Amino acid sequence: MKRWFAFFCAGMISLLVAQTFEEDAQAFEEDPLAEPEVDASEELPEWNEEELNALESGDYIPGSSLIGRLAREVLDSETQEVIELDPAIRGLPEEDPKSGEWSKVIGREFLPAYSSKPANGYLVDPQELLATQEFRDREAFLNYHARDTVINCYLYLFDGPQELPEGESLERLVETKFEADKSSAVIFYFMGDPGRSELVFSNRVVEAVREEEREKVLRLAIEDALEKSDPTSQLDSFSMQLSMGLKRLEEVVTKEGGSLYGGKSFLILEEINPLLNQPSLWEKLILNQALFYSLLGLAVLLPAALFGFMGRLIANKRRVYVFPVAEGSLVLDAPHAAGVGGVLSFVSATAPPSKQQRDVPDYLQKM
Amino acid sequence: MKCPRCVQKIHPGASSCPHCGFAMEHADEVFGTKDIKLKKFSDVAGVFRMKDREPMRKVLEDFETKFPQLFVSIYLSAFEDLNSLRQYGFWMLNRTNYVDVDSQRPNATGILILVDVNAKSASITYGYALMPYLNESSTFEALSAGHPMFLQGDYRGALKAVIQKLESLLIKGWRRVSRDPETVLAAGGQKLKDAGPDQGEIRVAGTIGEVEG
Repeated sequence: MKRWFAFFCAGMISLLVAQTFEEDAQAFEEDPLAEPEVDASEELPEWNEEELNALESGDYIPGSSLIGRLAREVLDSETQEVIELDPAIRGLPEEDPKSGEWSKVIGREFLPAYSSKPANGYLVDPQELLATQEFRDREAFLNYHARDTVINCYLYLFDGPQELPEGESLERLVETKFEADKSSAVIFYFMGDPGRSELVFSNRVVEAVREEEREKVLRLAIEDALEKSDPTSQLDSFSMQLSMGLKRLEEVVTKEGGSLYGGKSFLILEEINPLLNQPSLWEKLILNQALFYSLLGLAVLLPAALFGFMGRLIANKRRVYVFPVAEGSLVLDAPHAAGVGGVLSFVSATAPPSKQQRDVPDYLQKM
Repeated sequence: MKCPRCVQKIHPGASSCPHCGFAMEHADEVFGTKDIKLKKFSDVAGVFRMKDREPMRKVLEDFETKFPQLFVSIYLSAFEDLNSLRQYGFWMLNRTNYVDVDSQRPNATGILILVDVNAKSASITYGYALMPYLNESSTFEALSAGHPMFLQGDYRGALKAVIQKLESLLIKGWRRVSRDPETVLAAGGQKLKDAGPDQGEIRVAGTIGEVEG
């Protein structure tokens, strides 16, 4: 009996479950996009009139019912209990607020790098303001620039707000650490603040290039850099425009007859290039009159000979050949012709004509 | 020179071949005694296309312009049973009346190129006037110039090459005779008809190769 009752209950339950699923499926089929019904308990709370008045009067603190309850109880209690922080939290060191003065300072350990000419390369970044890849890119660019132009470009990187220590300056660095007889451009570049950039040329460049031209290089580079917002992009634009400006300086100097000679052959001027002072082939020819007139004669005679040869060919082609009038006796009683020439057979393509000469008598021929 | 039948050497003044007795009458017996009328370019075999015939005639006219006393005749035929091209050429040049050749150029000044398309052979026969300048070997050399084209069936090209070679041979002969006319003419069994100062190039209208008798 119990067994039958258990079977009956199980059947009813499965029937109910199946009916529920069927209803849900039916509802989904009718409106698949319909939102499920929201339970009333999950609805957001609404302000009632009393709470709103209390909030406006300052008697009610929003959220106090949740996390402020404990604080309210403590405050409302007459014990005046002092809230003490957890000892673990109290032990944490307080962060010093960043001061403007501190960010302007360059670490002592970095100063030697800034006060000397770089032993290798053209980029100085001891504070590692650039990421490794960015540094490599800039360094490669400056190396390329150095290969392509006479004026080498040395770039010292500082953080935007940093100040040089007392007594240190770019002019002093260039005077003391850079050779005066080599063409160099030394730049102090402040990351994120390209407007503060400084550029000083070595004496050789200063002597060869006018001041307005030199200033133009830095001005254009800063203008280009300021068009970008990202400090790294600014540095890219700055260095590119700087390189182009330095290249332009070389062209200006060459045009004006000056010299930035620093070991590059393409800027050697005529005065110092003996090859350029040598007379050209045409000048040599003019100077050597015998050779000149000989060549002139040849230039006239050769075409004349050529024309003569061609004329002769044409004349030969049109030439008329007349034989002397002769007389003779008849041969074989033939009235006009007795000249029996050769007979050629062209049967075989492999045998030469001489092997195909028909020179046989006709004694046995069929007449 | 050689006999057209036995191909043995004969004297330039021989009335018949001392070896085989061949004379013109024997050729007449075989090929006929009556003269025939032909144009200087006759393609009886029909191997020339229509468009090729006119250029071929132009080649012949150019030859006549260059050598105003001479002419070249071409005869192409497909002979069925011709065993002696040499004899036929000999007979033909003596018995043909070329209707398109002016009277200033008798057959004695002519060169006949005979081509047997069936037997695939070609021969050259020339008149008395050309005997001092051409011979069997030189004419064979001229025919050999056209041999590759003959083999390919390019008769126009072959004949043009043969005529060009003949021209160069005649120019050489002209130079020889200009230097020593008596010797050169004597080698061909001839002598100068008029040994006066007007010989050579000056006598453009003169007829060469006149025969006695």
